[in-house]
Amino acid sequence: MAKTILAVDDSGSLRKMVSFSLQAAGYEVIQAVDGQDGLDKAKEKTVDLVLTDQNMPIMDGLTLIKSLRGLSSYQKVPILMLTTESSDEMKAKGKAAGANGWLVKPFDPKRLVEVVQKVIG
Amino acid sequence: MSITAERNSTERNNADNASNSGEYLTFVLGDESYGLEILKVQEIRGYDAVTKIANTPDFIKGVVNLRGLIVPIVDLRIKFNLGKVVYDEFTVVIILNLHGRVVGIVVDGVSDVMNLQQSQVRAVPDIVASIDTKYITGLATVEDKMFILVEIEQLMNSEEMALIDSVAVH
Amino acid sequence: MTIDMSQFYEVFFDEAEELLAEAERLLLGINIDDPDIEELNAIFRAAHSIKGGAATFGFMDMTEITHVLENLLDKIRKSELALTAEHVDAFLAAKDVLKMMVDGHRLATEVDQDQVADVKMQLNALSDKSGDKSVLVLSVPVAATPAPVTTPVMAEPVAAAPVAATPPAPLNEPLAALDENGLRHFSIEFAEVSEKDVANLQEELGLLGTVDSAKHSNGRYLFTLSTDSTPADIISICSFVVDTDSLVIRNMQTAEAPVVATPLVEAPVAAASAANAPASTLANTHGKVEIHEEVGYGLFAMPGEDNVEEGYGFFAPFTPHPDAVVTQLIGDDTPAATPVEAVETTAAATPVVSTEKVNLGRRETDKPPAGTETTSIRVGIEKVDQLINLVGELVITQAMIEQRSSTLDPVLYEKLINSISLLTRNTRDLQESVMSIRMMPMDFVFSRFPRMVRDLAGKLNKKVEFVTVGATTELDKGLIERIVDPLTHLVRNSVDHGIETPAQRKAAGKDEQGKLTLAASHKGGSIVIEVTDDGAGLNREKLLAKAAKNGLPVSENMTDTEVYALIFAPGFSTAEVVTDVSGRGVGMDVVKRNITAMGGTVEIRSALGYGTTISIALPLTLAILDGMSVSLGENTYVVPLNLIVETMQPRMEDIKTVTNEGLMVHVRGEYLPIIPLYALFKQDTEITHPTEGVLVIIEAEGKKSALFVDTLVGQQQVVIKSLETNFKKIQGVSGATIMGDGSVALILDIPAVIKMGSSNKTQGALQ
Repeated sequence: MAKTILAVDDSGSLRKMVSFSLQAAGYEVIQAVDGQDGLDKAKEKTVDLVLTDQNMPIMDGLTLIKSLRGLSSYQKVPILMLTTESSDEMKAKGKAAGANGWLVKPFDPKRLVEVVQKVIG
Repeated sequence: MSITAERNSTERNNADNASNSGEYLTFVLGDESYGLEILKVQEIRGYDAVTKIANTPDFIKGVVNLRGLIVPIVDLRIKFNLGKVVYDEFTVVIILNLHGRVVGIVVDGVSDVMNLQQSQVRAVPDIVASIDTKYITGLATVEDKMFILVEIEQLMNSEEMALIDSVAVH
Repeated sequence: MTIDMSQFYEVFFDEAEELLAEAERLLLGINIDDPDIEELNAIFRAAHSIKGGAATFGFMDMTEITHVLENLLDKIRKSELALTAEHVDAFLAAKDVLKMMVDGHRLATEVDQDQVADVKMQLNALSDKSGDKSVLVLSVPVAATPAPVTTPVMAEPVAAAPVAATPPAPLNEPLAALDENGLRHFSIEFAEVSEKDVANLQEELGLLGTVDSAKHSNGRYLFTLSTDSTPADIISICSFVVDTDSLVIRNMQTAEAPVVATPLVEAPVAAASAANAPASTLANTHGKVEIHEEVGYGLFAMPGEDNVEEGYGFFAPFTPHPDAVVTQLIGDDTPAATPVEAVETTAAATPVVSTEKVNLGRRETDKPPAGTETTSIRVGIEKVDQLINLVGELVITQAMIEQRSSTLDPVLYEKLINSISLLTRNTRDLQESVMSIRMMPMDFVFSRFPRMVRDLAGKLNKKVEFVTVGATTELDKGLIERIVDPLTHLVRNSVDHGIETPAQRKAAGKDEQGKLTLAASHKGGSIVIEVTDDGAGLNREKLLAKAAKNGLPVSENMTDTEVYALIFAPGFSTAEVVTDVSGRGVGMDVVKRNITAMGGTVEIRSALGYGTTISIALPLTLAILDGMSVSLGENTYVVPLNLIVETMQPRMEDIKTVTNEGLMVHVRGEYLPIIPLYALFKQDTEITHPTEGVLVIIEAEGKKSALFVDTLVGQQQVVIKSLETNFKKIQGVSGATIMGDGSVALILDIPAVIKMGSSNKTQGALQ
């Protein structure tokens, strides 16, 4: 049974790249276009991993992470931030919000799959 | 047959087109029998009412609707002053597909499809047909009958057929 | 795994264009004195998203610009910097450059490097002012190549592991100190492998530095390596030969020098090893170990779980998947004083590659990539056109069936007739939906104008408020593309000649700011596009004087509409001074000709002192024409409805013969030349005198004529077919269509017919 990953990013090209790469690696990918969409989709189905962009319209990544952590079904689900901001401040915020890690953009598909595999196999 | 073949093999070199073999559709215009490459033929159909086009030569009968395509119809009998120009249920239109360009030609009749060997084709003597020799690639003899092989695409694209804008010729 | 990044380029380009357009729209609308924070955020996000994508896909030129842009915008949205008009100008210029770059990458069009340099300078100047140099630091070196994915990480693990461009986070403390030769010494222990592998490994490790010895003890091998590489490099190398699970790398330092002693960077790894890796305790001793960073990514602890007793929760509370590669880097008995480090492993990810390859191979066969969730698909326009053509055929066939069934006895054939009427309805619906595929909102055209108007107004020192109405109105794609130029000209003209200078407006008692409205709406089977300004309006007297001067036939009796239409006459321009804005050699006559060629009409309404409206009516699509069928002998011709003024059956007294002019007809005070179609097209008909037939008053390029045909057949929409596909251009004919009975009717090229009529003097053929 393929693991399902929720990929949240407002950028269609990145979303496509992320999903395509992960699908090629055998994962199911659910896409969401912003934090709110991500939250809605996360509620519909509990996924195995959440990858979220930080800067998005409507609801940003941090808020999404916090909201997800507020859900009982997402207590243990790994969440990674995909972010261009690799500052310590952002990392601290991400951590505080409940993220398990981060991946700095830009990244190539290979790197993404590696990281995902480390986290959920 | 083998004798003919032998004789032709020497003359063949004179023919500028070295690959005359293949399947030909033969048709009749007046007293002459012609052949054109079957690959250029899309279909054969009867003569339907055409829509006349103003200010075009009389051999351009007009255009017809061929399943949504607007196709010009040329009466080769008028063009080459051959045969009797009547339009009835026996009138035959050969629909040609010349590299995507669809054109219909009216002839007296379609006779057969024949498979020609290179050896059955010989070069064109100076004057044999009503069609300009530059559009004739060779003469084929099959069972004592002579067929004039027409380079139909060149003929249809020629300026004298007035089927394409003159600027587009060449 | 090889993923061709170029497959995402198109999406990125589309997205970048959209974001740029959106950013421009927002910038144009922004209130500089009191910018809306949401708008600033949105502009920031656009820059941010483009930067992210550009960096990912390797378009570094774009990354560079967006980076500076993003920094500035970030400061502005955080109110650290006040937005100025200068900023907006620079941002707009940056948008242009970015668009140029997108085009450059996508269409290989030229990128004006001077312009790029200018924009960079402009942005940098603003950045300097803001006290931010905003030097771009690429966070992942790999992105510097256009196709990052091709970076040969596998083949050259060392080369592919340059030092991170991001400065190491403060937490990142160095691993074991370098010795005086700049080398570190490691012992590398791994489970028993074949002799051959040992040799391989020794050779591989030799690439990194000096392999001092290779011992075999207790069923394990032990190498000593002196190298300037990191453990990660060692792991990458080893991963090709031995199971990295069994790999133990130790620092070999002088006795007092503690050793790198953490579970390796990789979180799950550490979590797995946590149970038996006492080194993790170091983390909390130092109290700053939550973050373990690799280049470009890291995993941190769960809040509240980063305590020792809980079992080293600083790596997320999930258990690594058994498939995941577990690599250990265990220190010697390390005292707590050791800097706990996420070893700086630039290539730490590399060892995974080989494993991943295997995994991927398997997974790919198990399951093809699932379809992504998309709400639109990209289809070639030729496919759409083919579909439209086929539906066109279907409509014709359906019409034939309908026509042929009309003679059937409605009682006897009731069911058949009902079915046919259902077919008719379904076919129409189908046609409508298929046609709608080609439809695009007018916004595609309108969206380019705010910027143009802004720039123009700036250049002319005018104040113009630009308003669009009905931007969602849809129009055929082909028409959308062709309407751009005429509309651009009209808008430019309105700003240049229509709207007055603030001083003039003030003097006239008007608001200093003029208003220019671009509106689109549906009206019957047409779309109406109007360019309205509240400027000076057209001056009838001036137009007449100018026309007279230009030798155009004018009279005081002309209606206002006719007078206004004069500006469409070739070579007519009302501007006294040719400005570089409107005076580009393209006259209003070209505008009118273009619109007519699209099957449209133009009309002008104006009130002196109050403004002008130029109204364009276009058919909804190019493929379908609203036509009037007329008959001539046995043939049917179609006259485009937009060019018909009226139709009439003339009385004998309306017809006049004028020497050298042939027949004329008197219509509403003017004499129009009669063009007998039968003579023009040399076609047989029994009707040879206008009083026996019908006159269709046609108008094109400012000239009216009366086309004389046998009868009017009726008004209908026809599908336009080209005659040139299989035939050639015929003078006086613009195309053909297939009528309900399957026959072909020619569509008249009215401007050509009028010209033919006046040059041929075919009227002489009348008896």
